Amino acid sequence: MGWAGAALVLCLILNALAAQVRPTLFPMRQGLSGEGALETAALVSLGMRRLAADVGLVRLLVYYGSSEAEPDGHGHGHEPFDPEHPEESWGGGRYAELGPRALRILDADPAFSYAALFAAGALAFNLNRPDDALRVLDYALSRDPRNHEYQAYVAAIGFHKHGDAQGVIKRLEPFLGSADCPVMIRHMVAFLYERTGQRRRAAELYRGIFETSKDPGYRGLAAAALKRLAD
Amino acid sequence: MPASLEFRKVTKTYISSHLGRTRSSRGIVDLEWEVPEGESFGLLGLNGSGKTTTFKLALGLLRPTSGEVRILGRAPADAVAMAEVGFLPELPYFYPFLTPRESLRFYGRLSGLPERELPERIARTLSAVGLSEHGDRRLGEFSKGMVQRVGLAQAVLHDPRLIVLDEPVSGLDPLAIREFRELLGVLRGRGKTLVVSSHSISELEKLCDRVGILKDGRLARVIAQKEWEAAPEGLEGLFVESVR
Amino acid sequence: MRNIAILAWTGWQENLRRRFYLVSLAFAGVFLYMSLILGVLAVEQETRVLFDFGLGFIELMGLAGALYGATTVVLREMETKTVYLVLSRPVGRGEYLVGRFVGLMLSVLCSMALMAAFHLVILKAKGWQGPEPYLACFCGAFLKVLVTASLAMFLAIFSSSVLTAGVISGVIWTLGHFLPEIRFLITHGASRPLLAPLHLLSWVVPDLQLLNLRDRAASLSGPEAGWAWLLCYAALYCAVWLSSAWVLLRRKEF
Repeated sequence: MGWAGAALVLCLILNALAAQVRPTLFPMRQGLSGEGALETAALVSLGMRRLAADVGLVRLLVYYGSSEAEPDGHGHGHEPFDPEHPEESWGGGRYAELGPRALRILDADPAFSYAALFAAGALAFNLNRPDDALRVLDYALSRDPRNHEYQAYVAAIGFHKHGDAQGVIKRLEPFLGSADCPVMIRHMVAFLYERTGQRRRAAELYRGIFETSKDPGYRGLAAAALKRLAD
Repeated sequence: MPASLEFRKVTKTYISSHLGRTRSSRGIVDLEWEVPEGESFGLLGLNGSGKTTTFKLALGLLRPTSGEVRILGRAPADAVAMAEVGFLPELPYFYPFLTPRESLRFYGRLSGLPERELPERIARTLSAVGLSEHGDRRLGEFSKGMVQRVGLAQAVLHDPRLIVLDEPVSGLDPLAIREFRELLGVLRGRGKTLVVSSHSISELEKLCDRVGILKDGRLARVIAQKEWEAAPEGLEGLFVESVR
Repeated sequence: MRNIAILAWTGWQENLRRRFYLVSLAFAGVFLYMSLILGVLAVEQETRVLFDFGLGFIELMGLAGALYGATTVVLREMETKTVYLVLSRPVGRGEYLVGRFVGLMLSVLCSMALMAAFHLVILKAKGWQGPEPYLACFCGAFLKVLVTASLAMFLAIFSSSVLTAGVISGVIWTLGHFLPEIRFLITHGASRPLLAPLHLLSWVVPDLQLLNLRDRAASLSGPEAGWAWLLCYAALYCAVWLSSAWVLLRRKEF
């Protein structure tokens, strides 16, 4: 069985070299829990982390797009906020699972910035839970510290907390054309333009949404806004 | 004359183990056998007497437990020797998706035939085995007898010095048997060494210079043509006498 | 080399006539249907989902074909005795093995390439413009399939069982993708003795995550291993297991 030993030793050397050449690829740290844990495990074991993240996003979109059974936000296994251990609980409110779901998506694919930006944007600007949004971005930045888009969102959320619309616009403006920028954010910035009297810019952005977005809901909102601005 | 095939005290024991229990069964025992170049030698024996084992040992498909086998003066499976050997196994099976022409091209290439010679050789061989008109049909559609013809064609395609045929006429109709015999006669006339096993005693009588009778893995007797011609009941009588 | 090429060509021809490529047509149908559904569900990320789903599906189809082929090709020829007519010619057992493997992988590559062509057409029609490098991801997927198939061929000859070889290869495919988690657990986990066998195994099974360029398409894991290294890794890994298979086949009696 000498050949078998030699084969195993060669494999060992190859794998040791591989580990030297390329450091271990993003292990999943959040653990598998919640809805879709089984399918995530199955897809990850088949070598399809990105697809697992995609399925997670589809589930997140469906979750965020559906009306909640318990509008007070105490459903879906949500734990009440514990001020002693803020890192262990989410801030509550509507769509309590949005943050944890986003983290699980990022766990499967840390490079999936759209998922982080969508969840953070929804939490900060739609659901008014900036702390939860910052937690999502914090986790995203821990895995991708050089992502300027995340950094800009963190800053924009800070301005949003202080009611500084111009500050929010200034931070987000450079990323409106990015492929990862959710239409929700573009719509929000357009709305802020409109509110701060920048009607031409607002109209341009709404038109862009109307012409390019694949989301019929936002296309409808943009059409209505364009009509409003034209009147 | 140098020997085409030599077996020196060759024994083959099959060992199989299942769930830790080992079983051994006899293939051939102390086989001493030699086929000189240019001879036509027949192997006769009852089922399980060791004919196929003997052929597989000669071709390197099996390894002897003890003793030595030489084929064309070399070790079995030696590339130089194998290029000069043609083999027809018992009930040959071919890739059903290929046509006879494609099969012969495949085997011809593997036997080292030059590409430029292949079309002509294939056509000639197909004609010799009576398959000229079926050269482009898928082998999956062929009858047992037609497959056997393709089997013989691939064995003689590369004009080998030694031709080993395991039950070549099994499954053939009388006309095909006659055509086979004629073809083998031509090869014999060209000085090829033929080693043939068969249950058809009359075929071996017509084809061989000598016949060896295998019994329980041992070479019980080797009979020359003149012996069976002199015997009152011919080769059949001698065979029955030997295996009883 | 000539014998390897002859055997590989016949293997490719066989797979072509056995309608191996029907799987590509099946892919086209399933993909077209799924793309309609996913498009609605993924909204803004439609092309990303189509990219991942398509390439993942191509990889799995390729893997299924390669595992089926690698576990059956030699055993089937031994069973039907077609191997007699090959090995009773001046063909080495190593040449036979490599020829059959190359023929199989050529068929798998063609099938995967056909599916990829269809996939790209759909992606382009849906407006995909990157940033994922399609060719690199496709090549990574093929290398993973190649490495696993070499292991499957060895296992088939070792165990003489298609089922055993297929199941073990499937488990190795899974383990090979879990290496980051296994190593993370080993460095951060509590019960180390329990993980010891897994640790040992993690250095022997192929590091499929290394070749998983699709999942690393936009990843953040620092400097990527160069192509030369990836090809070298896959080639050496294949060579190790094909050589082992050859050692076994050399000892086999027919």
